[in-house]
Amino acid sequence: MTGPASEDLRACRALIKVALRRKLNRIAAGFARHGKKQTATVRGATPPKAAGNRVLFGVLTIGILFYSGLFTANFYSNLERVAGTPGTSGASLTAPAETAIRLAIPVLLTVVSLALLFLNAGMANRDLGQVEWSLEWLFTFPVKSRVLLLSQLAVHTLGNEWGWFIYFPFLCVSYWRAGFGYVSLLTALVCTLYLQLILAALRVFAETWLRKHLARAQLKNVQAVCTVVGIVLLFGSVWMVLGQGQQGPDALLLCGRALGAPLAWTPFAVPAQLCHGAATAVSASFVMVLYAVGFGLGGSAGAGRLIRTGLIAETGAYQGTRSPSAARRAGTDRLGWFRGIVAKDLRLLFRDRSFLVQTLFVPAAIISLQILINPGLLHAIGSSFNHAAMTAFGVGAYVLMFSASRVLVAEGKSLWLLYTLPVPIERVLLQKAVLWGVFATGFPLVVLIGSLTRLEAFEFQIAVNTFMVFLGLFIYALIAAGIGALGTNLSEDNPRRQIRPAMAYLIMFLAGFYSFAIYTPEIWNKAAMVILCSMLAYAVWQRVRDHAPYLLDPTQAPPPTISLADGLGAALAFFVVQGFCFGFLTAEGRLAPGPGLILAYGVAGISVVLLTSLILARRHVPALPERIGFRRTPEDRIPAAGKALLEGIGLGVAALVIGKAYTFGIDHVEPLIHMKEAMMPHVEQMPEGTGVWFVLLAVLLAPLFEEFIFRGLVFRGLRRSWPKGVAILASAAVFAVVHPPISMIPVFALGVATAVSFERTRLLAAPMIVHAVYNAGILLL
Amino acid sequence: MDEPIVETRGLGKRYGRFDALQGLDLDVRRGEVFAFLGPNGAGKTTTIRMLMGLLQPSSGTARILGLDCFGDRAEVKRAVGYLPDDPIFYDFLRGRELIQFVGEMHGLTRREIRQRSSPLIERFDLKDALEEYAVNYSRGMKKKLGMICALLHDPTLLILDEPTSGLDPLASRLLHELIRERAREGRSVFFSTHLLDQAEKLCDRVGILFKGRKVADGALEQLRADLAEGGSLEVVFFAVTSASVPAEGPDPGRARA
Repeated sequence: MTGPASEDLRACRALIKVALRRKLNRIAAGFARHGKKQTATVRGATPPKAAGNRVLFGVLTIGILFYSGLFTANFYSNLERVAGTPGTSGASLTAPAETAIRLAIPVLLTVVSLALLFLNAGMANRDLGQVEWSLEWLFTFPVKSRVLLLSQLAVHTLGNEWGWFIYFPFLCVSYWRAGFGYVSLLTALVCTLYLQLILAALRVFAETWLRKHLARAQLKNVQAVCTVVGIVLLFGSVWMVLGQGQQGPDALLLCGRALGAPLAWTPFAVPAQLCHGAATAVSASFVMVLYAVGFGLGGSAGAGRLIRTGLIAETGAYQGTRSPSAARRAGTDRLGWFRGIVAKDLRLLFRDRSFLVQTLFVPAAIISLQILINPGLLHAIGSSFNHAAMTAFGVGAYVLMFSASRVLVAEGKSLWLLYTLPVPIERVLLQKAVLWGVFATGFPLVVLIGSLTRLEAFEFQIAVNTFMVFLGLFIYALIAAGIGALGTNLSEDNPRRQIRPAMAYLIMFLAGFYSFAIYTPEIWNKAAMVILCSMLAYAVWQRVRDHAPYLLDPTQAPPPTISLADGLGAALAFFVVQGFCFGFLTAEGRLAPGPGLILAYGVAGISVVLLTSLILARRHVPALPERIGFRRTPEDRIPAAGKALLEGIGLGVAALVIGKAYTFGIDHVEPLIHMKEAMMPHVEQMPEGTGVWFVLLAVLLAPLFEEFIFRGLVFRGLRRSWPKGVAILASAAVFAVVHPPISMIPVFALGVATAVSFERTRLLAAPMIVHAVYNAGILLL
Repeated sequence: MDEPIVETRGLGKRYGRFDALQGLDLDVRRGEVFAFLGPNGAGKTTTIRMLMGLLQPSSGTARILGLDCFGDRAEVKRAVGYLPDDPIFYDFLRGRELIQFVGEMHGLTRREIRQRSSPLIERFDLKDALEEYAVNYSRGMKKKLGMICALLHDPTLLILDEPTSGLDPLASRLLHELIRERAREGRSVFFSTHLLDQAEKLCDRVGILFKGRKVADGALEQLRADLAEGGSLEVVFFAVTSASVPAEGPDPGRARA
């Protein structure tokens, strides 16, 4: 016979099981491979989970727990040092120091718990403020509301991963330190559950209250505020634990002296009392039981009382009329100057506080934390304008990583609306990217102005670097938005998981690349970096444009083709492999620099040609050999092979003439001589005895590999989207900037000549001849 | 004048190994109201999403006013208004702001937007709700708002996915009137529906889809005469969508038999 009690229990068990299962699935989905183009047999099915996920998940969990424990141990030793213990290890603490630590721990526990409480209501809470609220559905079952709330309590107690990763290791180390031995593991487990229960009770009550009293749009804004408070508290506690030097721990000890005693027996701090002798431990255990029962029952009963008259705010969905005057007061017409996408995005940004917080506040908070923990950083920034400029760009790029990368995520489920408009999606995304670029200048502007006020004398370099910062931010807004759009997985429900984490790293990696442009004092290097990064931005947007039509199509992908991104990737790989090989081959005198150079060049060239061809072939690019220029299509209306050969020689000679004129001019024409002198230190002296090898490289290998990369891929990738002339000039510019500054001008001429010959003949052999003729001529003459 | 507004030839869509739509040939002419019928999962929404350029056809072509629905998707939208089955709007925009946004994206001035939208707002009785966030609207209100957005640029063709689901009887009637009106003015309407009587009342021609294939297409009268011996559209519908019909269906067991 099953009584009502056992039925409640069964319901409770089912509810807990389903909630925890949902949580695990969500975590597992985070580990699963993204990628929309799987061929599913059934429409809309979730792709099967990868086998390694659980192992990875387990390893990560253990790793985080271990790291967190280490962190705590470090914290204690730091605190002991600051509290004034004898420096020798193993010596016991002085009594006043031990008391100071004893008073500090309750403060820390309380601050951390409050941080978790606010984060639970804020960004760690996915259900609050969502359209589909699972509890609403659960209330349609024939289960008592008390059972539902108690099961919610249990779910939050067991399933709050933040608590497990913070409380458990912290308590373990604390009890171990107090001499509990292996019992500390068990004690920490029980006390973690206790703390989680208190948090859960407060959370259930707070959530219910919020739902009951606020409309959904307001809920999201309250969440945003909670996120801010939670992050500030969490960072505050991290600062108190870690703060370099003494400031943080000092502050903690100070707070402990003031608040430690009154806080000691409050719900969040009681577990710390277990450490202080048997008698205190017994009373602490007793108090904990009382708190647990009180909060558990109190929280669920309170929430139960709240929902007696209904589950959600009575004015739930549609709230009726707003008078036009109220609307005006609410600021809807303040944005009257803006139109279309810009107006829409500004409205959404300022109204959706949680979005505002995540895009603009969180990055700023993380950066401030870095400065708090590491005060030396601020000093370094203040010491020179160059540092400040680099920091300003870094801050801006960081903000862009959080904001511009979300151009597509922000459209969310309303993306269909953009497809009904007579404007290409990529143009809309581009406008959004530019808008974010403007936003991202806010924080850098503060840094730059701060640095300018400390300046003693104004130099030209300052103006240049200020310009470089803003130019860089504009370019990186495009890059971040483009990469973000490409890495967005629209089928993922959690907005925070919609962008693949790898994309965020890629954006920051590329931003690091640009910081060289600010760092280097040479104007040529700056120009080279700007050209490279702009090309990178264009490469990203070329792909965005390819993918834009397919965003809402679950199966179709753009037709495979050669993109500028392939060319830039191949060029990068070529230089990296070459550098590594050369370093390896010539290290410890394995090879002389001459053969080493040619071998490294050859290995890099062959591997890049083979690898790129393989990748493109696997992508099933149609007519691949014809596109790269290995052979020509019959219908190409172009000069015959013999004529192409002659033309190649002709163009090679033409480029050679320009090159020679330049080398002559550089020694004889006044401004050019100055330039040469300025650049000369950067021209590497050829090591002795490499001459013959160098000729072989320049006349044979360089034309082979460089033409494949710069004409076959880069120019081909550009030509797809740009008219002939622009593509020729742009590919020549890329070709020029990867060479030493002194040779950029003649190499640019060579780049134009080879691209022209490739465009005319559609055969890679032709620009190879141009290149060989040019290189041979330069070396011979 | 006889050039079709909508023209699909051999249109098909595959999701992995699942054929959602195969070999669809359709024509919708100027001034015509065309109803697209079929059971759940027959491929109606897939077809509509391809017409809107949201999906790329796996095979065949879809053209609107001679423009390719996928390749020229932005240009096509100048002539098309679209209402999805379940329109989802941005969380924090009010109804009026959404109308303004859509209008601006269509290149209309604020004055034109006001002039064109106010009679529609009046008709759909949405005036009171305009200052509310659209996400808080009921389903029916969202559809009304979506309808206003779709009509704002006075499109030659309206594509409506189950337009009356979620609408109250009054609003449904209003929508019916609107559809007829537009047809009288020489504009075309393409809509999908489950409501056979709605199709019967409104449309000039119907197409019936079943398991991704078109099983009937033509003027209502003719279909009735041919397939139901003068019976109702319901009889026609069940005649062509009963399981025995598609002999060349995707079911391999059936094909072997």
